[in-house]
Amino acid sequence: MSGFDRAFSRRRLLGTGAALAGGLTLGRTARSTAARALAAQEQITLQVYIHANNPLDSVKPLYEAKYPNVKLNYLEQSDMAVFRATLAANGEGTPDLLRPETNDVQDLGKTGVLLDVTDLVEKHKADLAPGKLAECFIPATGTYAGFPAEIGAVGLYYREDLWQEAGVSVPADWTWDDYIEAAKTVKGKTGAASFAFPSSGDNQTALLWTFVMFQLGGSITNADGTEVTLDDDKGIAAMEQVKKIYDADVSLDEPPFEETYFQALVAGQVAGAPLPVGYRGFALEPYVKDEQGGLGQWRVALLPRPAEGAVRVASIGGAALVSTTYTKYPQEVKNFMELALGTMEGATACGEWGVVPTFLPYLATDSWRNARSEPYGDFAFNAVWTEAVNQFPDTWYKQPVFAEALNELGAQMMPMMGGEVEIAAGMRTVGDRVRDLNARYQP
Amino acid sequence: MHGVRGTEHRSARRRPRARTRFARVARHWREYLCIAPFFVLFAVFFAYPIVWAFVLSFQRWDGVTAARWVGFDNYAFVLRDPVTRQVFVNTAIFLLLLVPLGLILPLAFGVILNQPFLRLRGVFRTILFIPVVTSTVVVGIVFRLLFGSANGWLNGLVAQVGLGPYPWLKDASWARVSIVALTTWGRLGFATLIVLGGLQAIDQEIHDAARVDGASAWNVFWRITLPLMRPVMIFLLITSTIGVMTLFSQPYVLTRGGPSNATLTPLLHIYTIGLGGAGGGRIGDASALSFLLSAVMVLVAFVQLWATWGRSAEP
Repeated sequence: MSGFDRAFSRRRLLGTGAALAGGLTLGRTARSTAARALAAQEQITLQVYIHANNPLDSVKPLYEAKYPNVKLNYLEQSDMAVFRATLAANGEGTPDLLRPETNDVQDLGKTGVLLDVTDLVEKHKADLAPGKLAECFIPATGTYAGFPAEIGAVGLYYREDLWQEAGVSVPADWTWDDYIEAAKTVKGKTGAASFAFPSSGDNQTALLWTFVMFQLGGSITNADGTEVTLDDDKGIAAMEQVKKIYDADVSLDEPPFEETYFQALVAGQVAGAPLPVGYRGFALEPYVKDEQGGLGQWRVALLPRPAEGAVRVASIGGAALVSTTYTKYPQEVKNFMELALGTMEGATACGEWGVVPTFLPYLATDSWRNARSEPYGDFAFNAVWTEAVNQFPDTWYKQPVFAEALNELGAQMMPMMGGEVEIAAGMRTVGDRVRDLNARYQP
Repeated sequence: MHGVRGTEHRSARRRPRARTRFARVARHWREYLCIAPFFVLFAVFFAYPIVWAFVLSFQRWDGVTAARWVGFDNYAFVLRDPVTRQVFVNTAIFLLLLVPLGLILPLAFGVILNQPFLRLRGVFRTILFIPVVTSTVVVGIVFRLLFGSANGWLNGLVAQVGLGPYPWLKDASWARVSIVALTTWGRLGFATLIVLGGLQAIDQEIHDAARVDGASAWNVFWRITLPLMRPVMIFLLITSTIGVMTLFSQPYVLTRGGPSNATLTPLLHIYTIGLGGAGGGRIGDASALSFLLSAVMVLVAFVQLWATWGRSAEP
C-alpha cells in the first residue's frame, strides 16, 4: 500500500466527503438564513402620489415607526393626468400608492390595473362606513379596487353671530325652502350670503345641484355606469330646488374653493353655506382669525331637507387609497392602507387633521366627539358629522363620466337659472349629451 | 429584349450612384454622428409621438387597457360634438381680438423704446419682459384676485369712480376680455423685443435720407419703417396666430374654460378630455381633435403666408 493509498483509504474518503457535504449544507443554510434576514431588513421606499397638506401626513410617522424598513416618499403631486401617463407607459414610474377621487377608482378599477384589496376590505368591513364602501366596489369585477378613505360629507356651515343678529335660529329639522327664507332675512339684516353659488358655468356651478340630488337619492348614472340618470325626476327636482336658491339672491357668486371665496369669508360676507367637512381643516381654520371672519362663531348642522324623507347629508366626493398591479410591494402597500384607514391610530391621525375617517369605531371615541377648533369656539362639531355618516347613503355612484357630466351640467345651468331654458327641457338636453359622452367610456 | 437590357442598364447605373451616396455618408460619419443627437431626439420625442397620436386618433383607448380600432368614429364624434364647434368659435373670437393687439401694441412699444431720447430704456425693456418669465400659475392666482367679482381689486378700483362691479370672469364677454388682457400682458414683452430688434436692424441712413428729403416723422414711419418691418410683422402675425390657436395656460388658470365654455380653447378641451380635468380617458377623441386642430392651423398659416408673401414680394 502506497502512502497515497493509506492517506485516502475508503473510510477516510467517505468521512471527508461527508464532512464536506455537511459543511456545504450548513454553509448554504446559514447563507440562506442570512439572506432572508437581510431581505427582511431591506430598505423599501414606497412612492406615494399625494398632494401636499393631506390627512395622511400624520400617518407617515406612525407607519415608518411600525415598519422601520419601509420609508414613505410623499411626492406632493396628485395630477391624475400625470398618473395616467405612467400607466400608459406600462407602469414606468407608477407610484405604489395614490389617493384618487372615487370616479377615478371606478374608471381604473374596471380596467384591472388597480391592486385588488378585497381581502383587506373584507377583513375590516364591519368597521367601515357602508356608504363609503360602495364607492370602492367595482360591480363589473365584484372586487374592491381601493380602501375607502375619508367620507366627503357635506353639512351646513353657518355663523351663529350673524344669524342671531338677524333674529333667526337653526331648528332641529327644516327644508331648503325654510332655509332660503331664513337666508333672505340674514342677508337683509347683515348683508352676508348663505350659499356659495358661482355663476361661472363650470363644474363648481353644478356643485349645489349635486348636493340636493344626493339628498334625494339620485345619481349621475346607475351603479355600473351603463345608464345616465341625471335627468330623471330626482335630477329635475334637484335643479328646481337650486333655481329657488338662485332666485332668492342669497348666494355669494364665487366658487367655494378659491381665493375669492376665502377673501369674502374673512371680510364677513359669508353667513353660511352647505360645504364639505374638509372646510374645517383647510378653509375655516387657516382663514378665520378675527371677529370679522367669525372667530368662535362658526357652527355646523345637518343639511335642510329638499323633500320629506330625504337624507340630511350630501357627498362632495372623497378619496380612496389605491395601488396598482405594478407595485413591487403589495404587502407593504396593504399594510399602509390598513394602518392609515383601518385602525384606531390611523383614523385618529386623519380625524385630528380634519376629515371624517371611514373607520366607525373612531367616530365613537371621546377624542373624536370632543374635538374643538378655534373658529367654532366651544362648539362640538363632530357630533354633527357622526350623524351625517349614519345617514350617508350608498346610492351616489361616481362612474367615469361623473366629472365630465358635471362640466356639461355646469355649462348648461345658467340658462336654466335665468329662465331662458325650461328646467325639464334643459335637463333632458344635458342628459342626452352626457349619454353621448358616457358611451365613450363604455368598454 | 431591348427593354430588359434597358432596365439592366438603368439599374446598373443606379447601383454605383447608391454606392457613391453611401460612401459619401460613410466618409463623413463623424459629422453625421455630431448631428445625430438632434435627429434621434426629434425622432423619439417629436416624430414618434406624432405618428403614435395619429394612430390613436383611429382607436378607442383609455390609456390603460388595450386600444381598439374604431376607424373614423373619433373624428365623426368630435366633428358633431357641439363643444368642438364652441372651441373653434372661441378661437375665432380670440384671433380677432388677440392678433391685432399682438401686432399693434408691440409695434407701438417697440417704436417708443427705440426713440433715441428715451432714458432708462433698459429698465422699461425689463419691465415689459417680466411677464414673459413669470410663472403662469402665480399670474393666474393674481389675475383671479384682480378679476374677482365681489372683492376683486379691479372692481374695487372702478368702484372708486362709481363704476361696476363687472362680472369679469362670470360673463362670457367679460371673461374673454380677461383672457385677452392676461394673454396680451404675458406676450407683450417678447413681441416688443422682436419688434425692437427689427427696428434697430433698419439702416439709420435710410431714415436720415428721408428726413433730408423733407419727410415728416409720420411719413418716415408709414412709408419707410413699416414696409421695412414687414418680415418681422409677418413673423409676429404667424407666431401670434399659432399662439392664439394653441392657447392653454391662460384659460386654464383663469376660467377653466368657463363660463359655459365661453373661454374653452381647443388645447384646453383636448387636455380635459384626453388626460385630466374631466376624468380623462378619451385619448382617441383627444387625438382626433388634435389632428383637426393641426389641419386648421396649417390651413390658416398657408392663407396668411399666401396673403402676405405676395404683397411683400411686390416692389
